[in-house]
Amino acid sequence: MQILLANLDVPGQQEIETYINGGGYRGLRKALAEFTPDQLIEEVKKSGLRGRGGAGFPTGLKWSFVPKESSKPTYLCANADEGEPGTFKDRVIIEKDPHLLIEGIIIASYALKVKQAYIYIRGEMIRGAEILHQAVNQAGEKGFLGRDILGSGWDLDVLVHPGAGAYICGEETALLESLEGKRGQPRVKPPFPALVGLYNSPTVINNVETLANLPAIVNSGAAWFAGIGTKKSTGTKLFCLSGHINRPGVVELPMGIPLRELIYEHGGGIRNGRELKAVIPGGSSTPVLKADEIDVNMDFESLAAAGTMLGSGGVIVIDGTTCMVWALANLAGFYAHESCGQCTPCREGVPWIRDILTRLEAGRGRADDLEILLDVAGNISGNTLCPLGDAAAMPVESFVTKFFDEFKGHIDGQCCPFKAQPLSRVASG
Amino acid sequence: MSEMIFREEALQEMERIRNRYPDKRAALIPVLHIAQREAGYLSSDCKEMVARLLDIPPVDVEGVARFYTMFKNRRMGRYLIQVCTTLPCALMGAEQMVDYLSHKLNVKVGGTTADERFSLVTVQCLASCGTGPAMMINGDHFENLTPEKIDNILAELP
Amino acid sequence: MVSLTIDGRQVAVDKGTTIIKAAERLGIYIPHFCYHPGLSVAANCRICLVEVEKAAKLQTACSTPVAEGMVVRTDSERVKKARQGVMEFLLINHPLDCPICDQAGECQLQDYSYTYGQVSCRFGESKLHHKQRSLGEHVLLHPSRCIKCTRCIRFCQEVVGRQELTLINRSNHVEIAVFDNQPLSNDYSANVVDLCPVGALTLKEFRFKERVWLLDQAESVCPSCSKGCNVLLGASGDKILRIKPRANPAVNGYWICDYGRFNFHWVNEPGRLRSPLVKSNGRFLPVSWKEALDVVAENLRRVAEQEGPDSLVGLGTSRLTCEDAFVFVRLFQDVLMAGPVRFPPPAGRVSDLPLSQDSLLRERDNTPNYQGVVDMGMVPYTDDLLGGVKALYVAGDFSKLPGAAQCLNKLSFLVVQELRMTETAVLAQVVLPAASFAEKEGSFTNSAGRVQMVRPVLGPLGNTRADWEIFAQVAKRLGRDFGFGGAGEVFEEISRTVPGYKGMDYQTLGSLGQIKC
Repeated sequence: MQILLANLDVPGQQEIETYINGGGYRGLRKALAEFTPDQLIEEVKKSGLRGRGGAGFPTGLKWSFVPKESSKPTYLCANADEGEPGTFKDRVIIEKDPHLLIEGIIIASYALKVKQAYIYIRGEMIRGAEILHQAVNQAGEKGFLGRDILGSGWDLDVLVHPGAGAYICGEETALLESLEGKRGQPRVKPPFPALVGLYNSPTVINNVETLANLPAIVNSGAAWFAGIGTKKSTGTKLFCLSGHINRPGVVELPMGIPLRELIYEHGGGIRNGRELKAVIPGGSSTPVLKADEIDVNMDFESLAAAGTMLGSGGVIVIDGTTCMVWALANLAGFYAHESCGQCTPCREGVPWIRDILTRLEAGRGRADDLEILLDVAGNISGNTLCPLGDAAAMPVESFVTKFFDEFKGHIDGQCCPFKAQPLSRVASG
Repeated sequence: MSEMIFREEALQEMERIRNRYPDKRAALIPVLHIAQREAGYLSSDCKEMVARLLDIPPVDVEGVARFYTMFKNRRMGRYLIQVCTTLPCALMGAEQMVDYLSHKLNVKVGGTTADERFSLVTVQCLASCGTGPAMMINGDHFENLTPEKIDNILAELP
Repeated sequence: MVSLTIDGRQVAVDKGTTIIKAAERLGIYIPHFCYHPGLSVAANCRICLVEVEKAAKLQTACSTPVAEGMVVRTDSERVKKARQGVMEFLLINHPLDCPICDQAGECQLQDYSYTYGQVSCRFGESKLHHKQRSLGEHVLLHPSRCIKCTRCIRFCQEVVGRQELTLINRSNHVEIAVFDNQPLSNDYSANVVDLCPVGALTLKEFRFKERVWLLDQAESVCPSCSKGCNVLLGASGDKILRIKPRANPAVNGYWICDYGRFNFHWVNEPGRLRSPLVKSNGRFLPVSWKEALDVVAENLRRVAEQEGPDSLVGLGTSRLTCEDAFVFVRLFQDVLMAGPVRFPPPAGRVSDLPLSQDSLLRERDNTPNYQGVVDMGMVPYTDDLLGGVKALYVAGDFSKLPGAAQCLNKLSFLVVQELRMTETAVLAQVVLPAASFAEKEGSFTNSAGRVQMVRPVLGPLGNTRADWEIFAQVAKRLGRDFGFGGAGEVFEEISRTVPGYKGMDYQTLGSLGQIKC
């Protein structure tokens, strides 16, 4: 089942002609011809499409929060600030099939009566931004963007806006701040962006993958889409396989595929025939699963029931040669670096966690370190201004709890037992 | 006066971008990218000029320039090598790539070579997790790094 | 109205009120650092987290609006744990330099750590350290102490309308900064020091002058313009050491201008008059009050008898309190049967000079009591009124007025009542030492007609006396005992006799004053 990646490897797919020849922009024509904006919102609701950025919020419902009557314009922002470690699916769409995203943006804009949409793309994706610029221009030349789109009387402009290196800008209100030319510090909610967003106007922020699903939903119908995947997690999902896996990369599979199948069949199993130690199933902030916990289905509900999350679909595979203290110290370093520094628990607590873990890994652990780690993570969790604090705390809680003996061993032995084989982490095949 | 630090075309490009937004200051990040491309890094003069162009206080530009990691507030080497060291790349040996580069170029992480040709920094996730270890040199991505591959990449730089 | 329950108690507040304000209505204090009623809500410090029934996470009381039927707990175990966590986070990189920190004693972080913190410290990593640096003429920044509440940034941006400060960097490297070493230079810059809940921003003029718990403090009114900003005077020994704003939403909100804040050195001046002086053979000799007052009364009586009461003129200033002005006017009109007491109209009211004035607080009239002295019956000065004057009683400085020199040369008697030896005082036969606003009780009526009290923070300097008291003692020697036992009694008389002041007394004026009717 390929909705998003079907034409990925078609030569010249970035060119609009190729895209159109493969059936591209049919969804847009159909949306304009057969749906009113409100009908389109209903259709997306019926499809069961949920946000692919991590939180899994129903897309149609999110759209319906935008006031029907407003003196201010409504804005759409495509969230292309893909930065969750382990996640690289949006980049694939942007670089290889950009018109899929553009068409999705135009359809969403039509449903929301948007006249100005933005693509907020990670600053580091310089090539991706160039490709999107070209795609936007081509869509304009074909009359899919600009004035009076396909004779509908409706105008839409799409602007590609680069970030400049800040993971936090993937959080939707930080994204808005950044788009307004400010430090990417998340806003206090409420008000939510659907009411007070970009330039204080109603704003919808949707992930790239979410938007890229729209052409197919319009073309083939909500019922068709809802029939894919599970009852509550409909459609397909782009899973990003990384780490110690034989075939890393992005695969598209129906929601609900068993994690074991994902790793061993689609990912070709663990590299070098090593044993599996752990899997982070949905991007770095989702709680880790031990090797004996991978008999779980990859959909929002099943993963939640297993105490973790589908997140953004970034599956990081960790083999038996890996030190979990080292791995967690690395992740804590990431969150400590990316904390915007605005609110107290995240600004102070996350670097503290990093410092403890770094010391632990260096063989200078103390008896009460694990207790402090868990308590500090608990003091961050739920108490921060935005979800980054939770994202940083969740791995700590799961790593320390699930690999407690390994953490404790670092303290008891005052060393990292894995350091004896310094090359163990180097990819050798 | 400090407009002199940018070429006329660059200024026009900045103005064009500025005019795409309903609120001028929204153009700040794209305009700073151009300023940095032109000047190599964001000096106080650059920031002041950008502030004037967008009609915002220079201190606001300062806050933004010192928030985003891509903005450099000091002179860097001609080639800025940014190696991702976040977990998926680290699992694939990113730390060894950093060590290799540091040794090969005889420069510490965060430093610039004596000839100002290279600056070496580590960065967080570049969305190349399936193709790690990964690095960027100025605007270009390089993936599936090995020491041999790094040798070749550096050798081919003009 | 919206009804809710906080800690088991019901309260009804306007829709849109935040939990922190609703709790305040019940007298329930919710700790806060970043929240300030005069600034936008930042919700970044997280110390005000409270439990709201049905909400999965704790909510910040500063930002969460009330809802009908909401049930809030501000003291549950969960809340206490979260607060303790926030306190611990704030302290891990905070230097424990309270013994040498100027904020000690009025530091929210210090106070809260006793109330909401924990005894032991379990942070075993190395603290970040930054060097202190100047943030302009008045303000010093100690970045290590900063808790990044951003009050200072928001103040400059939102209240002054001049963004001069920003955060730089991220994570625990975040710092307050200016652009390119440019000084913080707005006319209200020192307010950031008051706003700073910790010792990160300290006042260069005040630091290390005195421990705050040793300060004598008094609620008063700024004498530097007709706005009447409410202030808190801080003094030690016989010196004012600082002036801080005191919140009065109807007047100055929470702020004062830097000009008013630092305009107190004339009170501390070593050259202040301390004793009555009488001129003998061209030289001033210190004398007792009895002797000086006798000379004044004698001469006023003599000139009145010889030249008629119209040859006597009293000349005051709109820097006098209402009480001073009232007794001055009574002395001249009721006792000496002379004309009304005159005063020079303050510069800001007569010319279009670009005097310091702004849209925030500062007014053109740089005297505090124009409205008050007019209400008490003083009349703005015009130079032709001084034509036939033979005896002049000046409370204030007269030398800069047009026609002054000419008038002073023709006088038969001149008495000057002042803080210091002025150009006019030099010419006088008698010089009487007056108390400053910081040494007496009284009232000023601001340009909006709000009557507000000044209160002494300093004891009497040497032999100085309040102006009203001196006028009353002159009156007594001229046969009229007003019987005022204190400024409060003068004010009672004012409230009985001056229209608009009816029913007021020092009790009703309270801390925030009262609008005259």
